[in-house]
Amino acid sequence: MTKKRMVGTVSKMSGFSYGFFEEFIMKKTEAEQRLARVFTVFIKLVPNSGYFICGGNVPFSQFSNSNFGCIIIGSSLVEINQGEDLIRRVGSRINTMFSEKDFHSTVVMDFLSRYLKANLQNMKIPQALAIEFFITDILGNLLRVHFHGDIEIDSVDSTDKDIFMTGGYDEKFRENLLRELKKAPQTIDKEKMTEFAKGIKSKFRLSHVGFVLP
Amino acid sequence: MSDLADKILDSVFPRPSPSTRLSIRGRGTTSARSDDTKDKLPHTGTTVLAFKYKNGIMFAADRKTSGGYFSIFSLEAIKIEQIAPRTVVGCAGLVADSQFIKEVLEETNSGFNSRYGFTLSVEGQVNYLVNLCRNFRFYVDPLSMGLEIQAVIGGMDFSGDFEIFEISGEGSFYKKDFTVVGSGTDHAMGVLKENRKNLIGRSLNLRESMLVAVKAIYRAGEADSGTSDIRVATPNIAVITKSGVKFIKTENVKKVVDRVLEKEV
Repeated sequence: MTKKRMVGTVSKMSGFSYGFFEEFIMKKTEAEQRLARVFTVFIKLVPNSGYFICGGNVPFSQFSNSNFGCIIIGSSLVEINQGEDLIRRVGSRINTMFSEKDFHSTVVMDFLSRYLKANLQNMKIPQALAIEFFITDILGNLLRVHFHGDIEIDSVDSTDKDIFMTGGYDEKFRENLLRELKKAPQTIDKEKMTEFAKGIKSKFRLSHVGFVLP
Repeated sequence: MSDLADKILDSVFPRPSPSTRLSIRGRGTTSARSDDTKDKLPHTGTTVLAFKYKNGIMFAADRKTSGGYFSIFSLEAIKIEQIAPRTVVGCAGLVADSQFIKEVLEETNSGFNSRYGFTLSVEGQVNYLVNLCRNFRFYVDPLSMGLEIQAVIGGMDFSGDFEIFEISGEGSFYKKDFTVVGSGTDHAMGVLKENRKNLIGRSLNLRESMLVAVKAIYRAGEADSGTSDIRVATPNIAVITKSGVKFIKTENVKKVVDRVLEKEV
């Protein structure tokens, strides 16, 4: 019996035959599942400031230079380290070719987006890199690079949104988290913020929740 | 992972390597294959100077293009060019190489700006040019001394700092407060060094700076056959300030030339 394929290329996994497109969807879904309960959220405060709340079952990581700051979340420490390595690589190349001053938020965003997209679409790599980046720069832009390479750019000054999020691909988790985040402190008060982070940690049974001031 | 990252980095930031244009230029050069090329010095019949003043950076250059030691091709050459909104390059050396690096820098600047929305820093542009010069020397024409140029790049950074760099064709560079390149260096540098304190302290205003610049070009033109005399060709002056690059009108430079001649002649 023959099965009609969606796309020409055929490979065999676990005894079943899959089309190229099906394999791609599986790879993407698997990465989404690994990022289901890992998140970074930026809470916008008036006027034009805010703070980050990050959480998940592995600790998040940060990178910064004089032009931008970046929060890296991922499904495992190994993947987060790979994310850091990617940023350092592009930084080193920029340093060699131009100068440290030219290592801007858009430069790192462009590279990460290209890399993650290529990584997901390359079917010789069996597992996608489940990491996401939240970048803030000196011009007040919020840049998000998702694990599939898509990017989102918002300006803190001109947007009406109050909450910006990466990760949290479990719909139910996301919904509950966003509901909870509406109660987030609206001033930068470290005690209140710590209290709030602890609340989220226990409510969602996460091992790491913390806040970051940009 | 490393292969994929390297491939993407190479496609996004190709290292400044000998391009087709460079290879053609390398093969076509007549000076590269002789034995005495190691002792060869660049033909830099020019005086280009740059220094910091109160509001930014001033560039000045003579107007002569010479062909060998006996003929003058032009007395209207412009040797200072704007390559980015707040960056200027001044070149001494082969005209072809000067035009080449100007084109490369313009392309690099506009490419970076359109892709990332930021202008390149002055140091970034200098680094790029230096890499290009080194690659040219190593890969295209190992026997020659590289691009036959001496260049000055000056400009304002994203952070608001003013910077001047002197670059040689072999690929060395120096950060300076004031500098001169070309065959008239010794004579022009003498004038700049007389004003060293004011130049380092950035205490000269526009008028005073123009006087110093024109006087330096005058002294160079008086003694150096590669530099035009200010009595024959009015020097070119450009300033870089926070508002951008401005070329001073010839009439205004002429007034300063007259004042300098009154004192000197």
